Amino acid sequence: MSGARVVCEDTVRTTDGGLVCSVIELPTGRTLGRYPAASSEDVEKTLAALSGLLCSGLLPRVGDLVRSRVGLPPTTASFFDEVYCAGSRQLFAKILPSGGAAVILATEPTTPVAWGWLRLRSALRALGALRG
Amino acid sequence: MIVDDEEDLVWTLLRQVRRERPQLEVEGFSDPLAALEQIRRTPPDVLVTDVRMPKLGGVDLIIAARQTAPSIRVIVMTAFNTEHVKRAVARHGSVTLIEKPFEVSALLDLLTPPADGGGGFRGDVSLPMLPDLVQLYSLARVDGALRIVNGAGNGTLWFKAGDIVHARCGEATGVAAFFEMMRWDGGRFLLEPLGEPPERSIRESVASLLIEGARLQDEESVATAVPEDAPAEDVPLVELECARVAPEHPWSVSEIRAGLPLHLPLAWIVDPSEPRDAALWAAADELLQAARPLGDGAGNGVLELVGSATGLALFWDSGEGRLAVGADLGGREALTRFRGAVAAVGGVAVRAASGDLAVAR
Repeated sequence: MSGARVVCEDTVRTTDGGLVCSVIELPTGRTLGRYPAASSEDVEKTLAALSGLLCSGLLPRVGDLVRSRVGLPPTTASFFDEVYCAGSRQLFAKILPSGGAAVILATEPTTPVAWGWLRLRSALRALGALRG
Repeated sequence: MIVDDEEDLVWTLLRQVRRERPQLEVEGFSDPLAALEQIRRTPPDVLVTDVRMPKLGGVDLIIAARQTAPSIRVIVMTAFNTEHVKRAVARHGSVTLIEKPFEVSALLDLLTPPADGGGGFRGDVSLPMLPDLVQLYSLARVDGALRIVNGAGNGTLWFKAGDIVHARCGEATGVAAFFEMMRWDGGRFLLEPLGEPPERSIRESVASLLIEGARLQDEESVATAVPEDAPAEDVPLVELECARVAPEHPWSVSEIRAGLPLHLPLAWIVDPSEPRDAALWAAADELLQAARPLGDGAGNGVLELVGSATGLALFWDSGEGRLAVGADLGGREALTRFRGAVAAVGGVAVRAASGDLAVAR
């Protein structure tokens, strides 16, 4: 899926402090596209951890529990659609509306949070166009 | 009006302007205090001033001039075109910088009034440029009113030191007006250096407004992002977060300042007297543990998971080993406030049971 790689490259290059952008398939965790191909060990570790979290059954389970807590009927739609993590790096992740893939953007901690989300959303729109 | 403590420069510029732009009325001052007196008597359309001058600096002159004539156009001549100077003058609205030494023709071009007259910036904007524009004004710590004209109507955002303090769009004001303008797909904009906004209707940070605005756009553009069974905006908040450590140990800001042990599982720092779903909290605790590697490996960091329509945000600690666990479910406004506050202090925030936001650095 070279188109996804192009979108990832554009996202990293246009994000001040952008480090890595990756598109993964859910729930397999298979990489559909990413840029750059490799990065520092700590960034790779956090990306792997977030991929694992997104692919695990944990998020749907907590979503279902929250739904039941507030009396919402169960649904197949993902309850969580955004994940943001800030530590030594910032991670922005959003699950595609289809639920079959997620985009992850890793940035330096200095990247403005709003800017990170805006760039991630641009990537989503570009990926949506790729999928027709 | 040209103001510079270098008399020779003032004399040279006056001569050139009068020769090249005879239609302009121009006067010069080497004493900024004398210039200010004249501004108060008869405000000029354009003030061209140096920054570093004895008796009264250029920035102070701009401030005083804008108090008398808020719409005055300002051109700052400086040999110190540093970030510090840019920031200092940018706080005072629409200002153009010209770096010394400069060609007189460059100044003459700046003196030529824009085709549509008046001060401020004008231009076309198309989304996603509006968020960019807002962010630029925020970073520049601008004071002024950003007017946006769109086929759907007119709107105005008031900035104060880069923060959005008020918004109006048709009948709507505040956050609702801001989000309405974020939906527009294009328009004309104009930044005017106005005085005090008519009221303060917005207290959220620019970052949180942009995030929430973008999120709402997503939800509108992607129908699947909002389940049909999503609760309405006015659904009361469901309190899920830790408001107290334990009944005999009431939570307080000073408590957070003192620091809570980071290793405490989520279920332990939730008031056990509060009704809660044990399975939910166990799952949330599991989630936090699973997310631990996403921080710095020692459990320091912020994790935020946002539901598509309702919201659940879980935070763990920032770098100093203090409390940062919370959850919010229901109203968007509270969630926006919560996230904005967390962003502002680096992840240390909880929302108390009363519904008030409590934050500790």
